[in-house]
Amino acid sequence: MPRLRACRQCHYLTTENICPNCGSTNLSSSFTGIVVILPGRDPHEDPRKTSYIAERLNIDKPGKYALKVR
Amino acid sequence: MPPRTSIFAVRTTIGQERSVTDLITTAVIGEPDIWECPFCSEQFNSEEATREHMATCPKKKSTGEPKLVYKNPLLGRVKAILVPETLRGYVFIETEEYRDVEIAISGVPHVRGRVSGKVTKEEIDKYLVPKPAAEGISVSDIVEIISGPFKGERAKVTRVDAAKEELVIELIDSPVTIPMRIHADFIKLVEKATEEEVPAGEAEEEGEEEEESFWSRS
Repeated sequence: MPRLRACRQCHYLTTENICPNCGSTNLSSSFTGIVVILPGRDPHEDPRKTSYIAERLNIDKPGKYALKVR
Repeated sequence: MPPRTSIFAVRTTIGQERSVTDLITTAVIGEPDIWECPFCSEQFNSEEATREHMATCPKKKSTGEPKLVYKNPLLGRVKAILVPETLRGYVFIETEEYRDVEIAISGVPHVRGRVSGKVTKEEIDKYLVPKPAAEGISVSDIVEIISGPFKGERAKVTRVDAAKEELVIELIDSPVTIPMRIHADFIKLVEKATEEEVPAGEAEEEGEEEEESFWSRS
């Protein structure tokens, strides 16, 4: 299984070489903590309006994120 | 308006937090709703697909509406899953109601149980905003290395670089003091330095300088 890597800019977790969320190539394999923001019934809804965790971490797109990236 | 959700904690097997998270994620987003054509009972994943099929259905009758056979009970109700790796064996789930947690974790392996009661926002904030790793560590504290080739060794802090979250430490058990640079995430504070210990650390540094001058003389 390919190792997950976290984007240093947006904390998005990916197995690819480019972050699919922000397009950055600045990825790190050293991260701690995972946050999964799940989509609502409407996939284009802003999760910050419905989820406290997303609001607190300012995540505007559902997906898998790292809590802390080094 | 603030989101009207609650956060609940679920106990898992230590080390299996990620697999539990992945399985709950699959349960929430992996199962689509099922719609049925009223004429031929063929099943589809969305209302639009069913309507499209109904227009060309061979058993088409004059009237009929797509029938909702199964609605995913979790999609849109489970908002987020949090795995703070600092707290081992626990996963936090943000849902609208407590029964959503029950549905989400039913049948998931490695779930050891639920924690009764809601987790307050203040408690969750502690995990959402991790405090700097080098915080609370000062010069001449005794620390333990928790990862890497020197795992389990005790060391004394000689310098703290708070901006880079790095520490310069010296192993206590080593006969020769070798300064090592280590990230503050990989150490655990064992003992705070007492007031008397600070000059002792300085004396050690002086000893090191003498040693250097000895070599420069030869």
